[in-house]
Amino acid sequence: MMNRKRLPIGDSLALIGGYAKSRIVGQIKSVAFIILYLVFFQVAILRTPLANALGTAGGIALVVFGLAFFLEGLVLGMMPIGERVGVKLPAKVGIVPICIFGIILGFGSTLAEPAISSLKTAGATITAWDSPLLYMILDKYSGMLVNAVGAGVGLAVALGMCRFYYGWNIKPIIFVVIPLVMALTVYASFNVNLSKIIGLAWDCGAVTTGAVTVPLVLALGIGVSRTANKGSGNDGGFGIIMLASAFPIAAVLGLGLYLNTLIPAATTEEVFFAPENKAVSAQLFNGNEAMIAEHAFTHGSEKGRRALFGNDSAKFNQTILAIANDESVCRQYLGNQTLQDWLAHRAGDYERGLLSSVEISSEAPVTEPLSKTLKEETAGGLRAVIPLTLLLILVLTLFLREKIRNKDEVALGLGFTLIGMILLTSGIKLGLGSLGGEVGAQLPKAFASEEKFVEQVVINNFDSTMLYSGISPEGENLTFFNLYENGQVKPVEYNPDYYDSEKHTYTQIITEKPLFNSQLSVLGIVLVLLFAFGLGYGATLAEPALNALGITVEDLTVGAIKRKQIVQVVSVGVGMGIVLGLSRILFDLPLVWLIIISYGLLLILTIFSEDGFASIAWDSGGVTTGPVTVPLVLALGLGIGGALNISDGFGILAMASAWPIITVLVFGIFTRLKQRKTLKTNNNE
Amino acid sequence: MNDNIEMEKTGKNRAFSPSRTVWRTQMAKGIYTPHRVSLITCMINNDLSALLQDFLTQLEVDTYIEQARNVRELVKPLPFGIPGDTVQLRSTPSTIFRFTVPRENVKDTINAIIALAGLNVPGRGTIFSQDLMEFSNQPPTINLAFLESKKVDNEDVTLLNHLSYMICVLSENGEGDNLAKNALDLGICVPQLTNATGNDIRDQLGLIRVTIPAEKEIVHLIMPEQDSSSIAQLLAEQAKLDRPGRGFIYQTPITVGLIDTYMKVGGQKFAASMEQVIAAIDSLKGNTNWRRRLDAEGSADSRNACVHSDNCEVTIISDEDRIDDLRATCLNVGATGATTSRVTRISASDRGKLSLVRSAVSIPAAMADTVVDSLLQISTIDKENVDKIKVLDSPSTYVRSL
Repeated sequence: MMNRKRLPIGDSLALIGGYAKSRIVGQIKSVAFIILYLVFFQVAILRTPLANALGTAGGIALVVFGLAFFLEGLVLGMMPIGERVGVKLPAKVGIVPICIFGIILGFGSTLAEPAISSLKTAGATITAWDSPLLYMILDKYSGMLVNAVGAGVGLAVALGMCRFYYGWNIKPIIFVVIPLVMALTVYASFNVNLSKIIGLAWDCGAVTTGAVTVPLVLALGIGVSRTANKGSGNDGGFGIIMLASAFPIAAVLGLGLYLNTLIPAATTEEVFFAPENKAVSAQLFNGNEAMIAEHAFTHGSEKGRRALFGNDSAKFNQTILAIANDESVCRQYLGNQTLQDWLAHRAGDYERGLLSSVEISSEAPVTEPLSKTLKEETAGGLRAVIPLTLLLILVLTLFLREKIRNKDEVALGLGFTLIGMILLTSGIKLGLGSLGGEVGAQLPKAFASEEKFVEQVVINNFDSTMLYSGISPEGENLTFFNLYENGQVKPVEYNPDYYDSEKHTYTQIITEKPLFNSQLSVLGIVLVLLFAFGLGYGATLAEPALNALGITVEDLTVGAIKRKQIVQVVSVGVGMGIVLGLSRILFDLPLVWLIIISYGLLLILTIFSEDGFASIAWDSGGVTTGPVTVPLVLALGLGIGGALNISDGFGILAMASAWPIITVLVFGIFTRLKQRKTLKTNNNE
Repeated sequence: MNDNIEMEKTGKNRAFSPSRTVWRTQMAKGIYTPHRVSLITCMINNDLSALLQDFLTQLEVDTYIEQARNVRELVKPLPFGIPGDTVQLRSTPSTIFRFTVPRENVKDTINAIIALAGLNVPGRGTIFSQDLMEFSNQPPTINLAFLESKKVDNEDVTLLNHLSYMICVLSENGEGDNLAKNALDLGICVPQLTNATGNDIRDQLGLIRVTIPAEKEIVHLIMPEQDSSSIAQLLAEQAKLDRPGRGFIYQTPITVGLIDTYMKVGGQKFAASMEQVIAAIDSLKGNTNWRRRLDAEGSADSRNACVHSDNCEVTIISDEDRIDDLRATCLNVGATGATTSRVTRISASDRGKLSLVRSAVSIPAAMADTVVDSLLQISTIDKENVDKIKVLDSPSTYVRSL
């Protein structure tokens, strides 16, 4: 090796400065839209001040640095290693070891980047009596779910490798795999229990391909297809991610088919919690009856809780009071929820009345300390990056007996990836996620037509002599009293129901007024959908896996398709998909129809697309749902789903990964037509 | 005897040919025998590449494929009847095929490909051949029977000579499109753009190298020989190549070729476009000598400041694994500026699954012998038929070294 030149420190710093600046400015550009958009929505339209603005800003700064490090790390470390393994595998071993490696890699990547936590968030409001199968898969059998998804991804990577190895075309694979998954979905939709997991299955397909897996699998595919003795064509490396999104869907539906035989049927809340049905219901909780009670308190309504105590009011009252007075009883029934939280969101009017002495407010949960978040995210980052990289390095050095080129660069790249991952996920948790969560939680009031309970204040020493009368233009008599609070006197409407004449207390219920009058809720819905589109669009712009895909596409097409174009087209698609997914929640549309229509359209568009472009398009569906989009979209879905009492927030992600495929295919067809024109006009001459 | 033929082909007016010197020296050493071959380069629209690939497979030549894109100007009238046009650049994916054939088969092969892909229609692609020397394990072979069956007589197609193949290596991201636009505005030809990496500065640094992008954009241009040095000068000025580290331009001679002149799409205002008129006169005259440019004289003061004449282009095709060693060797003997791009090989005989790269370096003639010597030593030419080293004259090079 030649001698290394040494640069003066000044020059080195100038080089590093320019390099860092270009990367960071690039990432600021990519997150600017979503942040300005969220802030604008929060402040200008929802008219709510930003809570914890400083923390949010810090979190956003972390996101910017995280993205810059992560993307640079991928380009320097992860992708070169992945590509090298891909190049060397077919040269040294046959197709069988390649497939085995593919399965291990696919399975491992699923374990390393657990999407299950975000799925659990989406399913947090699921009740065991309404959707027992869904509840059980997410809770008792979540290990099995992860394994099923992992197996699906593993098989997908193996099949993708075979495709490159033998030079199969992508279209026949699409036309076999996708209709099969669609047929399975339609079949599942006819069963009450199974139809509930369709959303979960399709969302699994969308979220399994994480920010580390996508670039790695892409690079691997590029490597394998480079050595194939097949010559030109610019789809080298694409197509695996699409399979890795489709196979888990089938795997989850298959798991559902199997588990469905073991599960009690869906029923009503009262029946589910009734003492005589305890044995049946306990099947869902590993036979643990204490967990049934906890479920009644954390997920059920007052009706269910009464049923739990066999409609024995004395026992019911006693338990409720014990929860307020005894910390251990509180833990036993409410789990991790605080009493205040429970009272604000879950408790019925009677229960609230019973505990009126307890001061409640629905304040936002206290944000976790920075150190704890960093610690957690470091563990997550290490788990996502290290095992997969180790697997690749071991395969390359021990199994294939190859050197790693540019060891120092690769090591630096891996370090960057790790740092980037940690900063990115912590930043999202601290900044972007909380901002998104705030807006998501506020959003339902845009279309709400009724006042919503916010908090209650107990006024002591209340006396009815304080009341005075008022009148409305319609001649309606109203009663008021003056409340002195924070140095101001304000008239409050008096409701005799809340006055306790024995204790001389009045419970004031503070409600939130709807943003628009009830007649205008159509405008509210339009506003929500518009917001959803922008959210999807903006979040996707910042998605690192999409940027990695964009870089790869630009590279493979020698710049004929620019990275910016792909990122824009995909982002618009995600925006459209999220609008559709949210419509499902708002209007309670059957997800199966949305899926059939979207994918039917996709299959038709695929027929008219070029081979190379088809695989790029189908892959871009899988990359969209990454660490930036998922938390924001879930916050939105849950905020709205919660306000409308919809059982789960599934389906949005499924749509968010179907629609970018449509937009990219359409973009491809148009580009193609333009290019054809060049050739055609000449043929006529 | 051979020597005389060489002289006739590479240009009668040239007294000195560095590649011929290399050839002579290596022959005298007698270790590696250079083969005197013709390199055919075909830059073709992606829609036709499957057709050509099929043809070349049947022709049983080792072909190296590189992805590229070509850039044309899309001229559209302004909307609402406002006078004037808008000009946009439009990229189309294309493929570059490179293969070597014995010199006696060049004309037939080129004619067969022109007939096959209809390259005489502007907008479909470019094809040209260069006579050069190749060091490889075996001389190139060709399926003569197949070629005979495809033999056509393209009477209406006149291949042009006295052409020049200009390679512009640019370091700044996005400069490729700018230079392509300039080339289109000068009416030179349809530029082809490819990506490559150039590692020479980076290889000499420590880890700080990651801050310097390795990516280069390469613009391939074909133009009449007599204008080439002045056009190089013009392009170099517009791309500010007189500043260090921005890139360089060099050219190599073309024996015969066909230029794609379909540079502007849309907005044709006459019965024939200017490109068609030029192509017609080219083919009538059989050369491009009549198109001596008046605007390409350039500013005299900056002239020749950075132009090196009598350079040599050395191209190596090798396994990606060894490219680091090969490049290090080049650097050790003082040859800088190697650009490396990825190629895929299609070959009649499958020789295992390899990832190949093509590396090109333009060096002063005085260095050519040493570079070729050290490359030959480190290459595997004596063992297997993977590595190929080609040496080609490069009459003028515009470079500003660091």
